[in-house]
Amino acid sequence: MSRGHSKQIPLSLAKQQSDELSEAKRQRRRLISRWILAGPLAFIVSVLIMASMPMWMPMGAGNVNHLAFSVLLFPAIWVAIVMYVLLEENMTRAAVLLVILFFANGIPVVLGVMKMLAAMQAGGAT
Amino acid sequence: MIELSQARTQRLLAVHGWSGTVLGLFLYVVVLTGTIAVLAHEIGAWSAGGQTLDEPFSVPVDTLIREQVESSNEAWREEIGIFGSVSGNIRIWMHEHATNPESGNTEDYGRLVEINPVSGDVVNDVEGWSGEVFGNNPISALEDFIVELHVNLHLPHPWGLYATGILGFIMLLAAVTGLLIHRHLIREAFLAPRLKGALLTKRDRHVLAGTWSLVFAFVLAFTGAFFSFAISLALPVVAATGFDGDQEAVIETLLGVPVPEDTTAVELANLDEMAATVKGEAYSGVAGYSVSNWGRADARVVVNTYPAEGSMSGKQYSFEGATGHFLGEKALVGTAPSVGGAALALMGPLHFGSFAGLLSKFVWVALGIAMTYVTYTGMQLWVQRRSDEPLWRGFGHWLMIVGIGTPFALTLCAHTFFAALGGGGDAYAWTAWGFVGASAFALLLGVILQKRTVAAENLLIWGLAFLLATLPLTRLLSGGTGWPSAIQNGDLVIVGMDVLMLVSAFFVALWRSSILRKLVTQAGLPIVERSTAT
Repeated sequence: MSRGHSKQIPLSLAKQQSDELSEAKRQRRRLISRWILAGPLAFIVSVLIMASMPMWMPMGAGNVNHLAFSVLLFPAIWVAIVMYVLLEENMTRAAVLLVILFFANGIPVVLGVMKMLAAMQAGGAT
Repeated sequence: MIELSQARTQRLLAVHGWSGTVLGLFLYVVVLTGTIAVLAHEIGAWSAGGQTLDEPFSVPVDTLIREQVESSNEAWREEIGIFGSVSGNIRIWMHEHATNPESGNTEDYGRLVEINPVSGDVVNDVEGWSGEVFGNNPISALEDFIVELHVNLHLPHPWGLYATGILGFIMLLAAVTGLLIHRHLIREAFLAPRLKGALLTKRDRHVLAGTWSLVFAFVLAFTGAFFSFAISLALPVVAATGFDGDQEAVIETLLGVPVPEDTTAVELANLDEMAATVKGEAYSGVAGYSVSNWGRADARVVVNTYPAEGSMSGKQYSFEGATGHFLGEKALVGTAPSVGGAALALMGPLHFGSFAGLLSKFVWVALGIAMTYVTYTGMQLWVQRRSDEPLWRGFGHWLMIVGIGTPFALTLCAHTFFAALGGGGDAYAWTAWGFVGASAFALLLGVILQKRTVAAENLLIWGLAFLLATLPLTRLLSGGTGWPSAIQNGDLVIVGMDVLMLVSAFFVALWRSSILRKLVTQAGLPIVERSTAT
């Protein structure tokens, strides 16, 4: 009976239902992407930006600008990234930007940490 | 006016609501205790029952300090911090950097002595690790308890700082999204009361208080998140990438270049003479001294002053310890004045509201109350809009229990603190147990009266009013200073804090008492509609 009934559904309605389903799926995917980008990824990227800032920022007259601004701007960087992700309609663009920021800041940070570990090992050996 | 598409506004509204609701109860506790902690110094002076001197370094102190330092372990002359206590005495923290066998970390170990600057009597004398000696002055138990709840939620280090840092981020996000979703900021700041019995609706009150405290919320959230994450996260991260993991090196860079080592024994120059030299500069009263390598040729003395008129923070003046030679003003952060150093130095005054004495503190307390109200009513609104769902109705009940239970528990712990001070009990333990006991009582009330939210709310509010009104009495009965002698000694903070308790009790009672409300209305004063539990 139900099979017979389903056969009677006009093609246009079936297409509309299928479109609605795929639209709902798309919306859900966008929501999940936004959560991931604005949640854990925004936090990780802002920590990486803070960590890499002392490497390129000028020290200034008191030799502390590079430290002061990296620590001071951490909350501002985080909120700026989160707000950007919330306001951006194109999730692919937001993801690409965050991935670029992740690698651009992450690579120098990893190199810095490796240098620290090497220095610690050398200190331990002597 | 800020224009956003409907989809963006809805998204921001959802984030604004969810961020404030999911961690809202914790945020409420942090904001409430932060508002009280603005008056931490005054609470300390109130607990102490008066101050020996308002400015302990306004009298000659060199002989008193020298006597204590030179009779102590020589290793503890490495670093000496000299500062005022809440009782108006002088505290000398003589210490060295050593590895704590319990934690395995480098910490400060030494002796903390508190002296009365007028009589020269030793009031307190303890030896141990910094964490132990600074947490054992019974007079500071209440102040310490409130500050610790605000800073760490009483969680272990560094988890407490991570937690409050995340709450700071949540508040920052709520402030920024709030700014964008309330499109008519100027109009909402001067919102006309809606004619619903000549009273504002609950939403309007939330928006009105939120609009006025928006900038303040942003500043507090920003500086609060900075303080939480600076030590727990930023310092290790920056040390790892820029200083080969050496956190001491980061601190040394921030404090300035260390002096080349010279261990030759040389007597330290006179501290009072250094204070007299500082008086020639933009003087605003000595707040304390920091001495490194006391009794050596490479000794350095830094004289700290209170903020001068029109200035946000105090200054530091540097001296050669061995000769007393004046080296000039020292940058608060770094080797020379810089934008970064100035910005870092601003964080404290902006967060604590201490830049213009009591006036700025009162403004900070008032805005803090507005922020507490915004946090609480924001959650109430969220629940009210979902009151059809049993889960949210239940949350509304517990929101009220925590919302009123927290000030109830804080007031009861002040009672047990004073009782312990008077009875000679452990003030730290009694303060903590007072808070835990009152919180347990509020939670139990919540369970027993789960279906009768209004009855539970009434009980807690009347209980809070009673506890606030009787707090000055408990203080007096515990041997606290009476008003006549407080006024005679010029300790107006004691009278001020007692009056603040009585006034708070009156307003809490006004919230519930129909008789008081009628009297106030008859007197022609405006009155805010009392909220009912959702």
